[in-house]
Amino acid sequence: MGLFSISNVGIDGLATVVPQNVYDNLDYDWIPEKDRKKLIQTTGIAQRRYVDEGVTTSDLCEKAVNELLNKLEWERTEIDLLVFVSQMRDYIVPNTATILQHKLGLSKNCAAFDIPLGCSGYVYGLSVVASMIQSGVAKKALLLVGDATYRQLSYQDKTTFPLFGDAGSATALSYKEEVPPMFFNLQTDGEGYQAIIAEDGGTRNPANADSLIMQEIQEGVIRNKHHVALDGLKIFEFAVSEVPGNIKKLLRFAEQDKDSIDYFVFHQANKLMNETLRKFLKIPVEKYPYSLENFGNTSSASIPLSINYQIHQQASKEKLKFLLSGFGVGLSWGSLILETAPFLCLPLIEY
Amino acid sequence: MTTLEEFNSKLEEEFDELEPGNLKTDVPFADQVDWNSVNALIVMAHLKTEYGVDIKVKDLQEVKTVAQLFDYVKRIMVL
Repeated sequence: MGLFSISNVGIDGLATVVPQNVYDNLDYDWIPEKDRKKLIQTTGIAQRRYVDEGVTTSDLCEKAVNELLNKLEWERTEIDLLVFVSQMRDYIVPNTATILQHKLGLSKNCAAFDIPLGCSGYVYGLSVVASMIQSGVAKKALLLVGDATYRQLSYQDKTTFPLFGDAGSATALSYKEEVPPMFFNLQTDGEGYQAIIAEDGGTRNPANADSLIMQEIQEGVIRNKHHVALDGLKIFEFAVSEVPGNIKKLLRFAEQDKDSIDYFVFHQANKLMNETLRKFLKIPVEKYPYSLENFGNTSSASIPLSINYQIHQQASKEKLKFLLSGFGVGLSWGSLILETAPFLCLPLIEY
Repeated sequence: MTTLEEFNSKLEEEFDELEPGNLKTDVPFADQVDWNSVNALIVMAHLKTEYGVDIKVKDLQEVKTVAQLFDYVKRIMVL
Protein backbone atom coordinates (compact mmCIF):
# COMPACT_ATOMS: atom_id res chain seq x y z
CA MET A 1 0.00 0.00 0.00
CA GLY A 2 1.57 3.29 1.02
CA LEU A 3 1.35 5.58 -2.00
CA PHE A 4 -0.96 4.76 -4.92
CA SER A 5 -3.54 6.29 -7.25
CA ILE A 6 -7.01 5.21 -8.39
CA SER A 7 -8.64 6.30 -11.65
CA ASN A 8 -12.17 6.43 -13.05
CA VAL A 9 -14.02 6.91 -9.78
CA GLY A 10 -16.05 9.95 -8.77
CA ILE A 11 -18.23 11.12 -5.91
CA ASP A 12 -21.94 11.55 -6.71
CA GLY A 13 -23.31 12.45 -3.30
CA LEU A 14 -22.48 13.03 0.36
CA ALA A 15 -24.75 13.28 3.40
CA THR A 16 -24.05 13.37 7.14
CA VAL A 17 -26.55 12.81 9.95
CA VAL A 18 -26.11 13.99 13.56
CA PRO A 19 -28.43 13.31 16.51
CA GLN A 20 -30.65 16.18 17.70
CA ASN A 21 -29.45 15.92 21.31
CA VAL A 22 -26.91 18.63 22.17
CA TYR A 23 -24.45 18.23 25.06
CA ASP A 24 -22.94 21.54 26.16
CA ASN A 25 -19.49 21.05 27.67
CA LEU A 26 -20.09 24.03 29.99
CA ASP A 27 -22.60 21.73 31.76
CA TYR A 28 -20.02 18.94 32.30
CA ASP A 29 -20.09 19.08 36.10
CA TRP A 30 -17.69 16.15 36.63
CA ILE A 31 -14.96 18.82 36.53
CA PRO A 32 -14.89 22.35 38.10
CA GLU A 33 -16.30 25.24 36.03
CA LYS A 34 -12.84 26.81 35.63
CA ASP A 35 -11.52 23.55 34.15
CA ARG A 36 -14.50 23.31 31.78
CA LYS A 37 -13.62 26.69 30.27
CA LYS A 38 -9.97 25.67 29.90
CA LEU A 39 -11.04 22.38 28.34
CA ILE A 40 -13.24 24.14 25.79
CA GLN A 41 -10.46 26.63 25.01
CA THR A 42 -7.84 23.89 24.52
CA THR A 43 -9.93 21.30 22.69
CA GLY A 44 -12.11 23.78 20.80
CA ILE A 45 -15.09 21.57 21.61
CA ALA A 46 -18.03 23.55 23.04
CA GLN A 47 -20.86 21.18 22.15
CA ARG A 48 -21.42 17.65 20.94
CA ARG A 49 -24.35 15.63 19.65
CA TYR A 50 -25.30 12.30 21.20
CA VAL A 51 -27.67 9.49 20.31
CA ASP A 52 -30.68 8.39 22.34
CA GLU A 53 -30.41 5.00 24.01
CA GLY A 54 -31.08 2.30 21.43
CA VAL A 55 -29.92 4.41 18.47
CA THR A 56 -26.74 3.16 16.79
CA THR A 57 -24.23 4.39 14.25
CA SER A 58 -25.93 2.30 11.58
CA ASP A 59 -29.24 4.08 12.26
CA LEU A 60 -27.57 7.44 11.56
CA CYS A 61 -25.94 6.07 8.40
CA GLU A 62 -29.21 4.49 7.23
CA LYS A 63 -30.91 7.88 7.43
CA ALA A 64 -28.00 9.48 5.55
CA VAL A 65 -28.41 6.93 2.72
CA ASN A 66 -32.17 7.41 2.51
CA GLU A 67 -31.83 11.21 2.35
CA LEU A 68 -29.16 10.85 -0.33
CA LEU A 69 -31.03 8.32 -2.46
CA ASN A 70 -34.21 10.42 -2.27
CA LYS A 71 -32.39 13.15 -4.17
CA LEU A 72 -29.87 11.17 -6.23
CA GLU A 73 -31.21 9.57 -9.40
CA TRP A 74 -30.06 6.07 -8.45
CA GLU A 75 -32.15 2.90 -8.30
CA ARG A 76 -31.48 0.88 -5.16
CA THR A 77 -31.19 -2.25 -7.29
CA GLU A 78 -28.20 -0.72 -9.15
CA ILE A 79 -26.05 -0.47 -6.02
CA ASP A 80 -23.59 -3.34 -6.04
CA LEU A 81 -21.33 -2.49 -3.09
CA LEU A 82 -21.96 -1.30 0.46
CA VAL A 83 -19.08 -0.75 2.90
CA PHE A 84 -19.74 0.24 6.52
CA VAL A 85 -16.75 1.77 8.34
CA SER A 86 -17.25 1.98 12.10
CA GLN A 87 -15.87 0.88 15.43
CA MET A 88 -19.34 1.00 16.94
CA ARG A 89 -21.00 -1.81 15.02
CA ASP A 90 -24.46 -3.17 15.93
CA TYR A 91 -23.08 -6.60 16.92
CA ILE A 92 -19.73 -8.35 17.15
CA VAL A 93 -21.31 -11.02 14.92
CA PRO A 94 -22.59 -10.50 12.22
CA ASN A 95 -21.34 -7.55 10.17
CA THR A 96 -23.53 -4.45 10.28
CA ALA A 97 -23.20 -3.85 6.53
CA THR A 98 -25.21 -7.01 5.82
CA ILE A 99 -28.04 -5.80 8.07
CA LEU A 100 -27.99 -2.43 6.32
CA GLN A 101 -28.17 -4.10 2.88
CA HIS A 102 -31.53 -5.57 3.88
CA LYS A 103 -32.86 -2.49 5.70
CA LEU A 104 -31.98 -0.27 2.75
CA GLY A 105 -33.70 -2.58 0.27
CA LEU A 106 -30.57 -3.24 -1.76
CA SER A 107 -30.18 -6.14 -4.16
CA LYS A 108 -28.92 -9.58 -3.05
CA ASN A 109 -26.21 -9.07 -5.68
CA CYS A 110 -24.78 -6.27 -3.55
CA ALA A 111 -21.49 -7.07 -1.78
CA ALA A 112 -21.55 -5.75 1.80
CA PHE A 113 -18.96 -5.78 4.57
CA ASP A 114 -17.60 -3.81 7.54
CA ILE A 115 -14.25 -2.14 8.09
CA PRO A 116 -13.76 -1.49 11.82
CA LEU A 117 -11.47 1.55 11.63
CA GLY A 118 -11.86 4.86 13.49
CA CYS A 119 -10.32 8.26 12.81
CA SER A 120 -8.60 7.16 9.58
CA GLY A 121 -11.72 5.30 8.42
CA TYR A 122 -13.08 7.73 5.84
CA VAL A 123 -9.82 7.81 3.89
CA TYR A 124 -9.38 4.03 4.15
CA GLY A 125 -13.02 3.44 3.22
CA LEU A 126 -12.69 5.61 0.13
CA SER A 127 -9.55 3.70 -0.90
CA VAL A 128 -11.33 0.31 -0.65
CA VAL A 129 -14.52 1.38 -2.39
CA ALA A 130 -12.70 3.29 -5.13
CA SER A 131 -10.35 0.31 -5.73
CA MET A 132 -13.30 -2.04 -6.12
CA ILE A 133 -15.00 0.33 -8.55
CA GLN A 134 -11.80 0.83 -10.57
CA SER A 135 -11.26 -2.93 -10.81
CA GLY A 136 -14.79 -3.51 -12.10
CA VAL A 137 -16.15 -5.28 -9.02
CA ALA A 138 -18.73 -2.53 -8.57
CA LYS A 139 -20.16 0.33 -10.63
CA LYS A 140 -22.25 2.13 -8.02
CA ALA A 141 -21.30 1.95 -4.36
CA LEU A 142 -22.22 3.33 -0.96
CA LEU A 143 -19.62 4.08 1.70
CA LEU A 144 -21.19 4.48 5.15
CA VAL A 145 -18.86 5.92 7.75
CA GLY A 146 -19.36 7.00 11.33
CA ASP A 147 -19.28 6.35 15.04
CA ALA A 148 -21.81 6.86 17.82
CA THR A 149 -19.36 6.52 20.69
CA TYR A 150 -21.40 8.25 23.42
CA ARG A 151 -22.82 5.08 24.94
CA GLN A 152 -19.34 3.60 25.35
CA LEU A 153 -17.87 6.58 27.22
CA SER A 154 -17.58 7.00 30.97
CA TYR A 155 -19.14 10.26 32.22
CA GLN A 156 -16.49 10.18 34.96
CA ASP A 157 -13.60 10.19 32.47
CA LYS A 158 -12.59 13.79 31.73
CA THR A 159 -10.12 12.59 29.08
CA THR A 160 -12.80 11.11 26.80
CA PHE A 161 -16.34 12.14 27.74
CA PRO A 162 -16.15 15.83 26.70
CA LEU A 163 -14.37 15.08 23.42
CA PHE A 164 -16.44 12.67 21.37
CA GLY A 165 -19.62 13.32 19.41
CA ASP A 166 -21.85 11.04 17.37
CA ALA A 167 -22.40 11.18 13.60
CA GLY A 168 -22.96 8.93 10.59
CA SER A 169 -22.39 9.63 6.90
CA ALA A 170 -23.10 8.22 3.47
CA THR A 171 -21.01 8.75 0.34
CA ALA A 172 -22.22 7.65 -3.10
CA LEU A 173 -19.46 6.77 -5.57
CA SER A 174 -19.56 5.44 -9.13
CA TYR A 175 -17.46 4.54 -12.16
CA LYS A 176 -16.78 7.60 -14.31
CA GLU A 177 -14.70 8.18 -17.42
CA GLU A 178 -12.32 11.12 -17.55
CA VAL A 179 -12.23 12.17 -13.92
CA PRO A 180 -8.94 13.13 -12.25
CA PRO A 181 -7.30 10.26 -10.34
CA MET A 182 -7.43 10.03 -6.55
CA PHE A 183 -4.05 9.84 -4.80
CA PHE A 184 -3.63 8.03 -1.49
CA ASN A 185 -0.99 7.58 1.20
CA LEU A 186 -2.04 4.97 3.81
CA GLN A 187 0.06 4.09 6.88
CA THR A 188 -0.12 2.00 10.07
CA ASP A 189 1.78 1.56 13.33
CA GLY A 190 0.20 -1.12 15.49
CA GLU A 191 2.81 -0.68 18.20
CA GLY A 192 0.57 2.09 19.49
CA TYR A 193 -2.63 0.00 19.58
CA GLN A 194 -3.21 0.74 23.27
CA ALA A 195 -3.34 4.52 22.79
CA ILE A 196 -7.11 4.33 22.17
CA ILE A 197 -8.69 1.11 23.35
CA ALA A 198 -11.81 -0.51 24.81
CA GLU A 199 -10.08 -3.40 26.58
CA ASP A 200 -12.91 -5.85 27.19
CA GLY A 201 -15.65 -7.21 24.97
CA GLY A 202 -13.61 -8.65 22.12
CA THR A 203 -12.01 -12.09 21.98
CA ARG A 204 -8.66 -11.12 23.58
CA ASN A 205 -10.49 -10.10 26.77
CA PRO A 206 -14.05 -11.44 26.53
CA ALA A 207 -16.69 -9.51 28.46
CA ASN A 208 -16.91 -10.84 32.01
CA ALA A 209 -18.33 -9.85 35.38
CA ASP A 210 -15.31 -7.62 36.08
CA SER A 211 -15.63 -5.71 32.80
CA LEU A 212 -18.24 -3.36 34.27
CA ILE A 213 -16.41 -2.59 37.54
CA MET A 214 -15.59 1.11 37.67
CA GLN A 215 -11.94 1.80 38.51
CA GLU A 216 -10.16 5.07 39.33
CA ILE A 217 -7.25 5.38 36.90
CA GLN A 218 -6.15 8.89 37.93
CA GLU A 219 -7.75 12.06 39.27
CA GLY A 220 -10.89 12.77 37.24
CA VAL A 221 -10.71 9.46 35.39
CA ILE A 222 -13.00 6.63 36.51
CA ARG A 223 -14.06 4.06 33.95
CA ASN A 224 -14.57 0.34 33.38
CA LYS A 225 -12.87 -1.93 30.86
CA HIS A 226 -15.78 -1.72 28.45
CA HIS A 227 -15.38 2.05 28.13
CA VAL A 228 -13.14 3.68 25.54
CA ALA A 229 -9.81 4.81 27.06
CA LEU A 230 -7.62 7.46 25.43
CA ASP A 231 -3.96 8.34 25.98
CA GLY A 232 -4.07 11.92 24.73
CA LEU A 233 -0.33 12.56 25.03
CA LYS A 234 0.55 9.46 22.97
CA ILE A 235 -1.96 10.32 20.27
CA PHE A 236 -0.69 13.89 20.11
CA GLU A 237 2.94 12.73 19.90
CA PHE A 238 1.99 10.35 17.08
CA ALA A 239 -0.15 12.76 15.07
CA VAL A 240 2.16 15.77 15.05
CA SER A 241 5.21 13.64 14.21
CA GLU A 242 3.66 11.41 11.50
CA VAL A 243 0.87 13.31 9.73
CA PRO A 244 2.92 16.18 8.21
CA GLY A 245 5.36 13.75 6.55
CA ASN A 246 2.49 11.64 5.22
CA ILE A 247 0.94 14.70 3.58
CA LYS A 248 4.19 16.06 2.16
CA LYS A 249 4.98 12.68 0.57
CA LEU A 250 1.47 12.49 -0.88
CA LEU A 251 1.76 15.94 -2.47
CA ARG A 252 5.13 15.00 -4.01
CA PHE A 253 3.81 11.64 -5.28
CA ALA A 254 0.75 13.29 -6.84
CA GLU A 255 2.93 16.12 -8.26
CA GLN A 256 0.53 18.62 -6.74
CA ASP A 257 1.35 22.02 -5.38
CA LYS A 258 0.05 22.67 -1.86
CA ASP A 259 -1.38 26.01 -3.00
CA SER A 260 -3.55 24.28 -5.62
CA ILE A 261 -5.58 22.53 -2.90
CA ASP A 262 -8.89 24.31 -2.21
CA TYR A 263 -9.61 22.63 1.13
CA PHE A 264 -7.58 20.61 3.60
CA VAL A 265 -10.22 18.65 5.50
CA PHE A 266 -8.57 16.92 8.46
CA HIS A 267 -9.95 14.55 11.05
CA GLN A 268 -11.29 16.68 13.88
CA ALA A 269 -9.31 15.49 16.91
CA ASN A 270 -9.04 18.61 19.05
CA LYS A 271 -8.17 22.23 18.36
CA LEU A 272 -4.69 22.09 19.87
CA MET A 273 -3.68 19.14 17.70
CA ASN A 274 -5.42 20.40 14.55
CA GLU A 275 -3.97 23.89 14.88
CA THR A 276 -0.47 22.48 15.50
CA LEU A 277 -0.76 20.52 12.24
CA ARG A 278 -2.21 23.50 10.36
CA LYS A 279 0.50 25.91 11.51
CA PHE A 280 3.34 23.43 10.91
CA LEU A 281 2.06 22.69 7.39
CA LYS A 282 1.43 26.42 6.77
CA ILE A 283 -2.18 25.89 5.69
CA PRO A 284 -4.28 29.10 5.54
CA VAL A 285 -7.09 29.01 8.08
CA GLU A 286 -9.73 29.72 5.40
CA LYS A 287 -8.76 26.47 3.64
CA TYR A 288 -9.05 24.42 6.83
CA PRO A 289 -12.72 23.80 7.75
CA TYR A 290 -13.64 22.89 11.32
CA SER A 291 -16.64 21.14 12.81
CA LEU A 292 -15.07 20.61 16.25
CA GLU A 293 -16.74 23.49 18.07
CA ASN A 294 -20.28 22.23 17.61
CA PHE A 295 -19.82 18.50 17.08
CA GLY A 296 -16.57 17.45 18.80
CA ASN A 297 -14.44 14.53 17.64
CA THR A 298 -16.82 12.40 15.58
CA SER A 299 -14.19 9.77 14.74
CA SER A 300 -14.41 8.54 11.14
CA ALA A 301 -17.38 10.83 10.41
CA SER A 302 -15.43 14.01 11.11
CA ILE A 303 -14.19 14.54 7.54
CA PRO A 304 -17.55 14.07 5.75
CA LEU A 305 -19.29 16.01 8.55
CA SER A 306 -16.94 18.97 8.09
CA ILE A 307 -17.60 18.98 4.34
CA ASN A 308 -21.40 18.76 4.74
CA TYR A 309 -21.32 21.37 7.52
CA GLN A 310 -18.96 23.95 6.05
CA ILE A 311 -18.63 23.47 2.29
CA HIS A 312 -21.86 21.90 1.08
CA GLN A 313 -23.04 24.86 -0.98
CA GLN A 314 -19.71 25.35 -2.75
CA ALA A 315 -19.19 21.62 -3.37
CA SER A 316 -22.65 21.43 -4.97
CA LYS A 317 -21.78 24.16 -7.48
CA GLU A 318 -18.03 24.16 -8.16
CA LYS A 319 -15.12 21.89 -8.98
CA LEU A 320 -12.96 21.52 -5.89
CA LYS A 321 -9.65 19.93 -5.01
CA PHE A 322 -9.53 18.42 -1.53
CA LEU A 323 -6.75 17.01 0.60
CA LEU A 324 -8.37 14.79 3.24
CA SER A 325 -6.42 13.37 6.18
CA GLY A 326 -7.52 10.97 8.92
CA PHE A 327 -5.33 9.88 11.85
CA GLY A 328 -5.72 8.18 15.22
CA VAL A 329 -6.84 4.89 16.75
CA GLY A 330 -4.86 1.88 15.54
CA LEU A 331 -2.55 3.64 15.14
CA SER A 332 -3.74 4.21 11.62
CA TRP A 333 -3.47 7.22 9.34
CA GLY A 334 -3.97 8.14 5.72
CA SER A 335 -4.39 11.05 3.35
CA LEU A 336 -6.01 11.49 -0.01
CA ILE A 337 -6.10 14.08 -2.79
CA LEU A 338 -9.51 14.16 -4.42
CA GLU A 339 -10.86 16.43 -7.15
CA THR A 340 -14.63 16.70 -7.30
CA ALA A 341 -17.01 17.97 -9.96
CA PRO A 342 -20.17 19.56 -8.52
CA PHE A 343 -21.98 16.79 -6.61
CA LEU A 344 -25.01 16.37 -4.38
CA CYS A 345 -23.55 17.65 -1.10
CA LEU A 346 -26.41 17.96 1.39
CA PRO A 347 -26.56 20.30 4.36
CA LEU A 348 -26.31 18.53 7.74
CA ILE A 349 -29.30 16.36 8.59
CA GLU A 350 -30.63 15.70 12.11
CA TYR A 351 -31.84 12.33 13.38
CA MET B 1 20.45 32.02 17.27
CA THR B 2 17.73 31.85 19.94
CA THR B 3 18.83 32.50 23.52
CA LEU B 4 17.42 30.83 26.62
CA GLU B 5 15.73 34.14 27.50
CA GLU B 6 14.03 34.38 24.07
CA PHE B 7 13.01 30.71 24.26
CA ASN B 8 11.52 31.28 27.72
CA SER B 9 9.73 34.45 26.74
CA LYS B 10 7.90 32.73 23.87
CA LEU B 11 7.11 29.65 25.95
CA GLU B 12 5.58 31.54 28.85
CA GLU B 13 3.02 33.17 26.54
CA GLU B 14 1.43 29.72 26.32
CA PHE B 15 0.57 29.65 30.04
CA ASP B 16 -2.53 31.78 30.64
CA GLU B 17 -2.09 31.64 34.41
CA LEU B 18 1.35 33.31 34.33
CA GLU B 19 2.02 37.04 34.22
CA PRO B 20 4.74 37.93 31.66
CA GLY B 21 8.27 37.66 33.04
CA ASN B 22 7.31 35.23 35.80
CA LEU B 23 8.35 31.88 34.29
CA LYS B 24 11.75 31.00 35.80
CA THR B 25 14.14 28.96 33.68
CA ASP B 26 15.74 27.03 36.55
CA VAL B 27 12.67 26.28 38.69
CA PRO B 28 10.63 23.12 37.98
CA PHE B 29 7.51 23.65 35.84
CA ALA B 30 5.52 21.84 38.52
CA ASP B 31 6.36 24.58 41.07
CA GLN B 32 5.25 27.39 38.74
CA VAL B 33 2.24 26.15 36.76
CA ASP B 34 -0.37 23.42 37.05
CA TRP B 35 1.84 20.79 35.36
CA ASN B 36 -0.97 18.56 34.05
CA SER B 37 -1.44 16.73 30.76
CA VAL B 38 -3.13 19.73 29.12
CA ASN B 39 -0.14 21.96 29.80
CA ALA B 40 2.19 19.16 28.64
CA LEU B 41 0.22 19.06 25.35
CA ILE B 42 0.50 22.83 25.06
CA VAL B 43 4.31 22.58 25.42
CA MET B 44 4.45 19.81 22.78
CA ALA B 45 2.34 21.92 20.40
CA HIS B 46 4.54 24.99 21.04
CA LEU B 47 7.76 23.11 20.23
CA LYS B 48 6.27 21.74 16.99
CA THR B 49 4.89 25.01 15.70
CA GLU B 50 7.76 27.29 16.81
CA TYR B 51 10.75 25.01 16.19
CA GLY B 52 9.42 22.00 14.23
CA VAL B 53 10.60 19.77 17.09
CA ASP B 54 8.81 16.56 18.08
CA ILE B 55 9.36 15.76 21.74
CA LYS B 56 8.58 12.24 22.93
CA VAL B 57 6.20 11.96 25.90
CA LYS B 58 8.79 9.99 27.87
CA ASP B 59 11.40 12.71 27.26
CA LEU B 60 9.00 15.47 28.27
CA GLN B 61 8.32 13.60 31.52
CA GLU B 62 12.03 13.76 32.34
CA VAL B 63 12.40 17.45 31.54
CA LYS B 64 11.78 19.43 34.73
CA THR B 65 12.69 23.05 33.88
CA VAL B 66 12.67 25.51 30.99
CA ALA B 67 16.49 25.34 30.87
CA GLN B 68 16.38 21.55 30.46
CA LEU B 69 13.73 21.88 27.73
CA PHE B 70 15.91 24.46 25.95
CA ASP B 71 18.85 22.03 26.06
CA TYR B 72 16.65 19.25 24.62
CA VAL B 73 15.54 21.43 21.71
CA LYS B 74 19.12 22.61 21.11
CA ARG B 75 20.30 19.01 20.83
CA ILE B 76 17.80 18.38 18.03
CA MET B 77 18.25 21.60 16.13
CA VAL B 78 20.64 24.51 15.98
CA LEU B 79 18.83 27.41 17.60
